[in-house]
Amino acid sequence: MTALLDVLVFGFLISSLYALAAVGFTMIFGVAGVLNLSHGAFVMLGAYIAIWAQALNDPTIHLPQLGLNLPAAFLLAILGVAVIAPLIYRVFVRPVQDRPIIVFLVTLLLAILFEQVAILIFSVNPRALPAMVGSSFSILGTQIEYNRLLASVIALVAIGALWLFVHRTKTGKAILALSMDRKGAALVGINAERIQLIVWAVSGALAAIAGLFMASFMGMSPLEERVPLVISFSIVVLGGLGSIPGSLWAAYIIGYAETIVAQFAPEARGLAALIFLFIILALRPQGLLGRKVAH
Amino acid sequence: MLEIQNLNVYYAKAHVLRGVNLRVESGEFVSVIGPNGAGKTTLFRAISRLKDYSGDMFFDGSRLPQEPAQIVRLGLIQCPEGRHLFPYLSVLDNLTLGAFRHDQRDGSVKQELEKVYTMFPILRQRAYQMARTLSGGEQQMVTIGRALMSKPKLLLLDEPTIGLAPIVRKLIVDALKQISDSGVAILLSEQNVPFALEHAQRVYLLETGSLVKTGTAEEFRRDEYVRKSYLGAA
Repeated sequence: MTALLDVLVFGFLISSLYALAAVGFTMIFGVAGVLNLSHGAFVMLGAYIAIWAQALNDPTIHLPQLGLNLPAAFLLAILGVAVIAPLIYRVFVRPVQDRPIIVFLVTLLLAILFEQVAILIFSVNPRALPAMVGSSFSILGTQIEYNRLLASVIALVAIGALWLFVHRTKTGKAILALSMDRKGAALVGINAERIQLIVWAVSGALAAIAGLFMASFMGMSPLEERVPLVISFSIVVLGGLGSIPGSLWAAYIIGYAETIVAQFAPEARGLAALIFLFIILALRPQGLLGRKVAH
Repeated sequence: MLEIQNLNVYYAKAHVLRGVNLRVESGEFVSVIGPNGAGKTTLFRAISRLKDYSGDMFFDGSRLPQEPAQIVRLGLIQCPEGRHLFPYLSVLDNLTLGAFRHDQRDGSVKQELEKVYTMFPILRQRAYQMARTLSGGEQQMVTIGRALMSKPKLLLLDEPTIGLAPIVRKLIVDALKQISDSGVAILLSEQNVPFALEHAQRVYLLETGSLVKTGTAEEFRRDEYVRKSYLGAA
């Protein structure tokens, strides 16, 4: 009983964070066909901006320090990545956007660059963010930290807000339209360039939120930006490239698969997602909710 | 209103449009006819800047901008070949996106929507269906409706009746007549020459990338070459 509740609770939390990381990745692919390999770096960057912003007199961080309180540091991290991501798109990705191989190389190089800069400033050792709220409570023998509960709520609110933004606002509809038919979007006067900047900003903000909570539960090192990238990649392929609902479903499938496997064989945790991915792709190569994009 | 001078378009090394000159006056109904592969779709794509070109195009006296979105803002609206609807959005969303460039808060969008529903009553019933679930004729109605939501001054229609059943074609033709009568200029591309001549005031004949003939619809109907090649006269 306790084990079951553990799986339910932690699976939900992990899945929600995965969903946050993956949704931005899929949106960027959806509107422009760009596979952004620096997406994991956005997750890491979110965590490290907050780690820097809340530090005070920490000799291991080679930057002037602000000593902000935690909520302010989190906000700065989210806004920071929401500004950096569209800048990266505008300066590095847009000029090569029509050449997928070059996009691959450019975004991969950027990811490595971010890793190395982070190592330079913070060293290669993992760091953790302190919990936003302390203490825990217990249900039927399962200890649940308030911090994890808060993270789940914030993740859900963020996903809900994204859903409302995409389905209920004019800009959101333009994002969907652009991801379904580029010519059609141009012919109703949607400015693809502007929409893509917005999508990169939203995607960066969501990645930063995921990074904040990953760093606060598990800790994170600069090199570990590859983990959220691989997870996002798996989720997005599983859900169907470019499909937002697909990637939400897939995040919960992979998150729960990992949590269930981790209960029995913690070392095999990462395998679960990959096995799932192989099975789904064998049965349904376009992913769960995948569809064709018109050019 | 629309003035095209010496338009040349290439696909790689293929010279697809060769020095095309064409104009549409305000409120006019102009048809471009010609066989498959003559370059009609390329001409239309160039006008909306979905394809790069060399040559000059003017709209209401000023040079056409470089960006498709800016061209839409001028009131130069296209119903493209292949429709290019948003397949996983509802009919209502597709129509509303037609008004993307317009302020959507002052109720004018509702008015335009009513006009579209009056023209194509079936779309009101289909409003909450995904566009991809509609029949070809209904999808063509959505495409025209979406273009009308953009409040066109000049409406470009690239083979709007291709592949449609005669009864649906009749509906679309009547709608075009109605749109034309409301003062919107129309540039229509058609392989079906009798249909192209029916409401047009002037006609251009495009063959292998060049405009080979131009005149009024009446002149085209009497023209020996047009009658032989396109109207099936003996």
